[in-house]
Amino acid sequence: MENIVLEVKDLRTSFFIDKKELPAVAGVSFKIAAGETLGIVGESGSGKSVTAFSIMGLIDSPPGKIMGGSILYKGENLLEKTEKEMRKIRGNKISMIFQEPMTSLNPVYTIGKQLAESLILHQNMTKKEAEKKAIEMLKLVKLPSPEKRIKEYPFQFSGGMRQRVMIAMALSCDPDILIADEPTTALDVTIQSQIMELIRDLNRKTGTAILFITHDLGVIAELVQNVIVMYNGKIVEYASVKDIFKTPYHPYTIGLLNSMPKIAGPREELKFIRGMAPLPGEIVKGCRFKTRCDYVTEECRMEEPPLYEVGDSLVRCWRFKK
Amino acid sequence: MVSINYDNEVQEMEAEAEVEAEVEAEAEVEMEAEVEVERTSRYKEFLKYFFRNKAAVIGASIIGLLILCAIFAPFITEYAYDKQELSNMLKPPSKEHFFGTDEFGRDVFSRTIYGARVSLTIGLVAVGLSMAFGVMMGSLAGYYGGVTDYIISGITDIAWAFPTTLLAIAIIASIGPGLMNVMVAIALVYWSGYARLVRGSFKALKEQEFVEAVRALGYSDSRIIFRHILPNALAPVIVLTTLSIPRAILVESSLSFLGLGAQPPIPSWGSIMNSGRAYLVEAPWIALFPGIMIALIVLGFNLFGDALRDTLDPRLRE
Repeated sequence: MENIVLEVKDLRTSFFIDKKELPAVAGVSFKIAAGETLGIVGESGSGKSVTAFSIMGLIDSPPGKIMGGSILYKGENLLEKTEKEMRKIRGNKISMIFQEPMTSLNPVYTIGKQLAESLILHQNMTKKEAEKKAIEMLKLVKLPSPEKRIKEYPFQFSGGMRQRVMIAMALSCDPDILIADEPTTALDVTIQSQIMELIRDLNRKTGTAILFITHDLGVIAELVQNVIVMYNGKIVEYASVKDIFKTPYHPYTIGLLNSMPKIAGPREELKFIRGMAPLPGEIVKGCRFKTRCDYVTEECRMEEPPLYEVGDSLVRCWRFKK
Repeated sequence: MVSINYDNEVQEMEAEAEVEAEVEAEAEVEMEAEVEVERTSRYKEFLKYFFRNKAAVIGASIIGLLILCAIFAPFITEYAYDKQELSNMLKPPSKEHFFGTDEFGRDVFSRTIYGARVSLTIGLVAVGLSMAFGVMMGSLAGYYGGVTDYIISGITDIAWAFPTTLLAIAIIASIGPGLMNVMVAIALVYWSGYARLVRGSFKALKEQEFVEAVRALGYSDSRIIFRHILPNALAPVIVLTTLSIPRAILVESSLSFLGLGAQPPIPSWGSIMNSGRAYLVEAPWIALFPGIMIALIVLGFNLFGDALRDTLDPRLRE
């Protein structure tokens, strides 16, 4: 039996702008087992980051509000926790790293102090123990000469190194889940692959489950076991990474894969998905992808398809109706 | 009439500081990266830049000298500030009495030196109080936004709209004269400047990713506000403080001049000038010397504050 650490059930998160409800996440369910790596792929506005922030309990309210569903961490519903209880989970049991390592560290404190602070707070360590652990963590993320570097300020670090520090900070309390919200987007390609390798390495070493959010399918291929493809606030395809690349079913997934530039083969114009991504709440009836789909039928226009099982994959498309 | 002139000036200075503050708040991030952060490595460089500025040296010297005067007042002058010598009244400056004597035969030099104590205490305590309160209000408004911000900003704007000295007089009129009350009144007048400044800084800093990152680490709001955002917002607060102290001293002098501040026999520069007003023709030295001191201390703090602002803002360097 798999050991499920996080189960999200029918999560719905909306934002209220000018009294209009924008459902950014419109019913998302998935599970993460201990040590699993799960990727969430989608374009801007698909609700992937909102899902992550909902799990962390960091949705700003107002304007945001979690409208329904549940987020079970080891069987406990995080949505029923008080802010005080959530603070003990955040950064301790579930931690998160962000897109922009350049500004994610507080400029006025040394790296060592920032690493130690969360250890002192969450693990009741003394200052000395925390400092020792901080050096250990920096070694773990392969930062050279950590003894010297903990006394330095963030401005003395490059972007890649700062992301390493952020990862060290996120993992320092030995969390069960690490949420990585596009951690490599702001880095250049060589640093990107180093960070990806580091994350994969740490996942094997520490057994921390990873929820990896990205808009880059190429990044996902190297790292994760399972992939969720999100579109307009809902899951459209949920499959293992192998199946996603070998046998993509949903027209959106196929479109995404086709629009990736290929290194091998003849040079040709990049393919793209026609049309524009709809705003949250814009599509009220039928399939979310109907405005951009090549296979659209009358059924698609009338009613939204459920998730169908196709092989080992789950696909939200009428074409796979049994 | 003097007080009204002060008033306009003070308001103008405030308006200026406000505009600067807003501009500074925008440039906050770079500024911090340039200055606050690099504390260890840049500390010496900061001092070097700072004291390369001649105005800074003059300002710091004046302030230093006056602080020494205030602390060592009993050793500097042989006369007690309240010792009356009626046989010796209204004597012009001489070897025995450098600044002459007043209508009770008290040594004006002693009274002026002891007056530095009053002025500096008022300046530091009143500004300290207003800073503590203003920074707190501004932090809460800027961090929480929404209704909290709406209420605090409303109160701040009301406090801001009053002419400084007028509001201070109104407060004194309701709680009674005396130095303690003057400090309270000045604090109640000046906190709004800090609140507005800090609120602006917080609004800009709150959007920074490191704030999101520390929230994701499970830190409490108070830890985030005071340990993580506030240190990043301090540079303009320090500058505002050096510019607020002389204004507070001016307000105190105005109030004492009007008889609302220091009560006899406590010597405050304002009250000495007030008592000298009656003898302006026969004994102009009574009002003259404390007046010079007021001008001097305001000049000192303004030079110091300007230099500090120039050094803390990398765009104004060179």
